[in-house]
Amino acid sequence: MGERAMTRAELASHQRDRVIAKVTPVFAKRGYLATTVDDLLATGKIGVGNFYSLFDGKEDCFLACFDRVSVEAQERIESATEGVTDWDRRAYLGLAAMLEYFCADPSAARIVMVEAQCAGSEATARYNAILDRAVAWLSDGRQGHPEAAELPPSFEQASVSGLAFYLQQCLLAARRPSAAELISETSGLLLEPIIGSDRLGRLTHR
Amino acid sequence: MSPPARPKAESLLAEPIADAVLATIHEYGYAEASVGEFVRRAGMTRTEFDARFSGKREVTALILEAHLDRFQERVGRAYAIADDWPDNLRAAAYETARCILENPDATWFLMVGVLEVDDMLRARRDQFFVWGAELIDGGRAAAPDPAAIPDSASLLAIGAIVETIRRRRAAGVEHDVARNLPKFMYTAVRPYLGEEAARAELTIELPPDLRSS
Repeated sequence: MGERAMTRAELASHQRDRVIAKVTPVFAKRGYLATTVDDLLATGKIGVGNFYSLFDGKEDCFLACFDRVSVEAQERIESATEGVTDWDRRAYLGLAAMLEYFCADPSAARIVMVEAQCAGSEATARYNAILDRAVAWLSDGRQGHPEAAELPPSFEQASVSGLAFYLQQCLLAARRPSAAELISETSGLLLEPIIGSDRLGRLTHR
Repeated sequence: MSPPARPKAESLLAEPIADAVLATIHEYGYAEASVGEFVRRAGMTRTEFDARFSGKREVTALILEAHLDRFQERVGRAYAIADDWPDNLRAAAYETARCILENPDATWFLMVGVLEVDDMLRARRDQFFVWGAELIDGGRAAAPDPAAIPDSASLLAIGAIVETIRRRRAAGVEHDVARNLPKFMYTAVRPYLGEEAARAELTIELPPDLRSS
């Protein structure tokens, strides 16, 4: 018994993954609006017929890149917080894992945080859904912190929106803060109002 | 042949073409919006349009620029009237709300529509928001410990309002700008003056014209 041959579906899936990995930096570098299908064909080293057998078009290809990045980010967050039951620590580690991923792979970050906003209604909806999940996740922190009940009801919405805009500006600007700087600055503004400065201080020095 | 004379930004906003362009883009999206539809709505001929603008991109950019100039002039003037921070920031926030309420299509374009044009116009839009962040960062001089405030504080604060409005507008939902002003002030003031001063912002009544909006 040896290696079995790939089925047609497996081959297509493999090829799709390969193309997605290659074209993600193209969307990030050229921008969604300026990227053409020809750019994708050249970078993905794929023929036009093959491309359209894998994707419905440029937008569909972009959505596949977006999904790959968001799944990767989610997996990194889950890996960093696996087995951690304390909300405060989970929140800090999850935020740090996401920011470290985005700093390590700015192309991936740009796909989700910047280009999704101009890549059609479906991409915008998926981007907004990620922000909605982040708002819900941050809101969970109020349960274990009675003092956070006094925060304005819009606190989580404002914090997540502010973080998203700040990350966009970092990605669009020439200056890029390090992951450590980003974690330090944003955890203070997002988590400290919920968990308090003492608790955040203990988490950051662990 | 000399290039067509560029219209002055402020006077452009008084012309029917300004509203026609934004209303068309709002209805169809930038990619599908056509010069033919612009001129039909504005009641001008294609020849008149071509004599003044090089095309869809240019007229759109000029209108964006004109609105940003007007917003910046009004908000900057309001900020300059009050001496102390956050009184001046609050005055600027009230004037921003008036600009938004008076110009719904321009606000939609600034928040959502411009993102579908190109990176240069997006950069111009973001430059405007960074200017707004600088007004917020005026709080650094009023803060008890300016060095302790992260550089990102003002961008996080302006982003809170920009992204919230963008998301609502993208979903076709009107954002109650006036009602949310005290919450915006809370977000902007907190990093600089602390929780107590930020909470005080939640209790300050809106000016009468914004209360009834």
